[in-house]
Amino acid sequence: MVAGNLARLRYRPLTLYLGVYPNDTETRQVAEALAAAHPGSVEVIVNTLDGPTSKRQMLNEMFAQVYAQPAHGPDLVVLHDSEDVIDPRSLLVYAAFSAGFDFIQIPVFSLEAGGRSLVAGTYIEEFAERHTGEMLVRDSVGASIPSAGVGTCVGTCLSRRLICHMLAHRGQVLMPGCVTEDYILGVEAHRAGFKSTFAAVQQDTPSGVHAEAIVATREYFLRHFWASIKQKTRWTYGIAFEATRKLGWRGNAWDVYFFFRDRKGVVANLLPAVSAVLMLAFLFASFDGTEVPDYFWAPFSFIIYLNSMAIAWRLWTRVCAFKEVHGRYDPLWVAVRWLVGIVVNAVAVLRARRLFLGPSRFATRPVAWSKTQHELPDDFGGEPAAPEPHPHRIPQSRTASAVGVSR
Amino acid sequence: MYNTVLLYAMLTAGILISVSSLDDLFIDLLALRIGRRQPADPLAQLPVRAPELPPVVRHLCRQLARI
Repeated sequence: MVAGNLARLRYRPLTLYLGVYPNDTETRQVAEALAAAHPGSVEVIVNTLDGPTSKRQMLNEMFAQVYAQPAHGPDLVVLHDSEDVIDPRSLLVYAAFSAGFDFIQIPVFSLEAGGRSLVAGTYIEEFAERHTGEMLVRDSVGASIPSAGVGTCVGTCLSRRLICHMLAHRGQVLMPGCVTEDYILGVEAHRAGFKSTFAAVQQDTPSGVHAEAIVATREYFLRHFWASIKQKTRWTYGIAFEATRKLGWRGNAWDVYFFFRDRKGVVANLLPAVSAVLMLAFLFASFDGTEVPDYFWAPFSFIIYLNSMAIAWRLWTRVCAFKEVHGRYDPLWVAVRWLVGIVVNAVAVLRARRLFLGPSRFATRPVAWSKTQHELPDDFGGEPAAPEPHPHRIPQSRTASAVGVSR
Repeated sequence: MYNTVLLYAMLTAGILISVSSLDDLFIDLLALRIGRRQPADPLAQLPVRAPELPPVVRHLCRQLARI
C-alpha cells in the first residue's frame, strides 16, 4: 500500500502516517523500515495501547499524536484503509475543494473482482449507483455527507479546522463506542456547522471519457459470503440502529429524509426475501379465490404492476451506473449480482436486528468491533502506469493509515 | 382463511416495497432535476470538469433521447 501509493501520488508535500500497535512487532518493523526508506514522506504512529483495538481507536490515537501541536499538523488529512487504491488525482481534488469545505468525500467504487466473484460483485452496483446518484443529490440539497463506504473510512478528507474542533470539544475526532464512527462524523461535522461536500469530479482524456475518468477511491470488497454478511451486519447495525440512538432524527427536512433513507434498510432489505417466501407459499397453497373479497384485486394488481415497473427501472439504473463506472454494459451479471445482494443484505439485517435486541441492549452498549480482511491488486507496489488493476489479489495486513497534505 | 391472510400479507409487503421504490424513484428524479454545484475553479491544474448532471442520469437522458 505504502510503496504503491507513494509511487502513484505526485502531490507534495505529503506524508503517509502509518498507525501500528506496539505489540505487533512484525508490522511495526515493516512500517519503520518504510519510514526510514522514505524520510519525510512516511511517519509511523505507535499506538499507546496494545492491539488489536479498532480502527476508530487507532485513528483517534493518530489524530491525537499528529495534532499534539495543532499548528504543526497537516492542513488536510485524508483517511484511507490499507486496501484502498488511492486515485493520484484525488489529492488535487481535495486541495481544490478545501478552499470552501472542511469535510470532503470523493466517490468510492469497487474494483471488479477477478473470476466473477458474485459476493464481491454485489458491491459494484451498490456503490456505483449510490455514488453517481444519491450522494450527488445529498450534496446538492445541502444535506450531511456520510463518509463513504459507511463503515469504512475511504477517501474522506478532513480539514485541520474540523479536526481541531473535534479534538477541542471531545478530545477525540471519531465518536467512541460505535461501529460506524465515520458515518457519524459526517453528520456531526454537518451539525457543527462545517461545510461538507461530495466532490464528484471526472476527467476527460483526449480519447474521451474512459472507465477511470471519475476521480475516486477504488478497492476490492469482500468476496466471501459470510465475511460480506459480517461487514454488512456492522454497517446495518451501525447506521440503522446505533446511529439512530446516538444521533436521533434532529436536522432540517432534508436531513430527516436522508436519515430515513439510511435507516429504511432494516425493513426494506427484508422485503424482497419476505415477498419471495410469501409468493412460494401462495403458489403451493390450494387457493380458493372465493374467500377473497372482490375489492381486494384492484389494489393487488396495481401493486404487482407498480413493483414490476420499479424492478425494471431499478435494474436499468444499476446497469447504467455500472456502465458509467466500469465502461461497459453487463446487464446479465448486474441482475445476478443484484439477486445475490438481496440475499446478503437480508441476512445482514436479520443479524443486525439480533445484535440490536441482544448483546447491544437496544444499542445502549458498545459491541465488539469486527475487522474485515481486504485485498489489494497484486501489482500495486509497482509503478502506476496501467489504471486497470490486475485481477489477482494478495491479503493485506491490519494497519490504518492517513495521508496528511498541505495546501 | 389461510389464503386470505397470505394474500393480505403479500399486499402489505407489496405496498411497503412500492413505498421504498417510490422513494428511490424520487431520488432518481431529484438527480435528474438537480445539477452539480460547481466550485468556481475546481481543478486549475488538471483538465477536469465537474459533470452538470450525475453520470448515470446523463446516461439515462442520452438513452431516452434516442427513443
